[in-house]
Amino acid sequence: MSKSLNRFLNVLLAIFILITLALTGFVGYLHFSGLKGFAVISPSMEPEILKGDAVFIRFTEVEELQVGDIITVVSPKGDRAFTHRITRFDSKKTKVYTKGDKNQSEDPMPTDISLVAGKVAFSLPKLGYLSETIGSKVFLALLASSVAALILISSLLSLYKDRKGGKKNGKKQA
Amino acid sequence: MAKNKLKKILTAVTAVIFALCISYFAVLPPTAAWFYVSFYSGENKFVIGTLELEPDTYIEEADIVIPAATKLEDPEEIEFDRALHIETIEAENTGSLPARVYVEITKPANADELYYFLYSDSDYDAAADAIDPNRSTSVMDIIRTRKGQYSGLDANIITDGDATATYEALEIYNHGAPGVAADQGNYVVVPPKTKLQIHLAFWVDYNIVGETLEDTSVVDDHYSYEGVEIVFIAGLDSDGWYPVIP
Repeated sequence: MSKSLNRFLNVLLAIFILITLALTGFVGYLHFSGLKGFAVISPSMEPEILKGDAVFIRFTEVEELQVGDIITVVSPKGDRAFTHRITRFDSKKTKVYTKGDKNQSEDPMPTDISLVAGKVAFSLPKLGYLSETIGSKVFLALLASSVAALILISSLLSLYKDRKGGKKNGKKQA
Repeated sequence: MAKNKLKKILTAVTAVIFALCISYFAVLPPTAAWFYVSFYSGENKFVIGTLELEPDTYIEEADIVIPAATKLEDPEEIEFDRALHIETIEAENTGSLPARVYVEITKPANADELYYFLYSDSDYDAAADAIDPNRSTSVMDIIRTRKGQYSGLDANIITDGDATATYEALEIYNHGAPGVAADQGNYVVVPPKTKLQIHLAFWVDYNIVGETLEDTSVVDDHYSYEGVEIVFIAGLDSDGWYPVIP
């Protein structure tokens, strides 16, 4: 392999390692700081939070929740969640009323405060699309096919090298 | 050789860690919430928060062909339903909350005589309860027994013998009372986990076209309107969000 190509590949590898280190650091920060992520799949909070963004929430005590905060509410079963802005509380702060910024009216029913998973700490653009894309059957099929193709190519290359190595040895012996 | 081996191991390990990091974001649970999109021009579904309201067939631009003119306000009119053109759409709400469906009709130019009424299959039973549970009901019966959507109006649409009052009431019924924010006109509610046939009945007002009422069994369709634009808009079953403010 030529020196310049080798150097180029080394640089690529270095960049790849740096990116991975940064990603690992970020994931580690999310995990150990108690932040929980959600992929936003509806535009009800536009323009503040766009469809396809990822929001990261932190658990917040009831006393600290305020009107205007963006919170994530999880269903009692934990299988569904929505992220909207607090518009008001009931008198005892046991229920919270919410509204999507893009919606014309409040959500049809208040939510029990116990179902508030947390307040949105920050959002990252486009990251939510990962779960939508990678979770799709088409993507998984493409991924599986690519992996299979790579394994096949690798095996064939290996076989070719072995045969070439065997011929060389044969020639030397002769 | 040792250097190459180290490079290969480093590449493989980095690739695995990278894939794990990507997987972390790929498995983020979704957060969706209540919102609505209008259904038009090739889109064939309403999305309401985590709910989905999917019409089985949809109408973008319909050719309305009506057999004869008729009179909504005439109490002696017994052929009203035969003079209708009905467009039907099947809507399915697979979510857990009721959805509300409004409709917008853009009539062609110079088609003032063309009127419409939105209803669903369940309205036949409601009309029967109001009139006579033992007899089958018609679209005319539904319109006749229907009062204003906004409780403050509470007035019947049809005023017998008075076309002006009848069509004024129909206009309010379809689009809401002017200046009343809570009244946004007629809509159909699709309950959760329900499939519903939503109908649009069109007719031509005899008072405007002024022709003799015809025997609908022997004449071909007489009043044709091409490309009538029909837009369904769905959202939460609550007041205040419609019409959509761009």
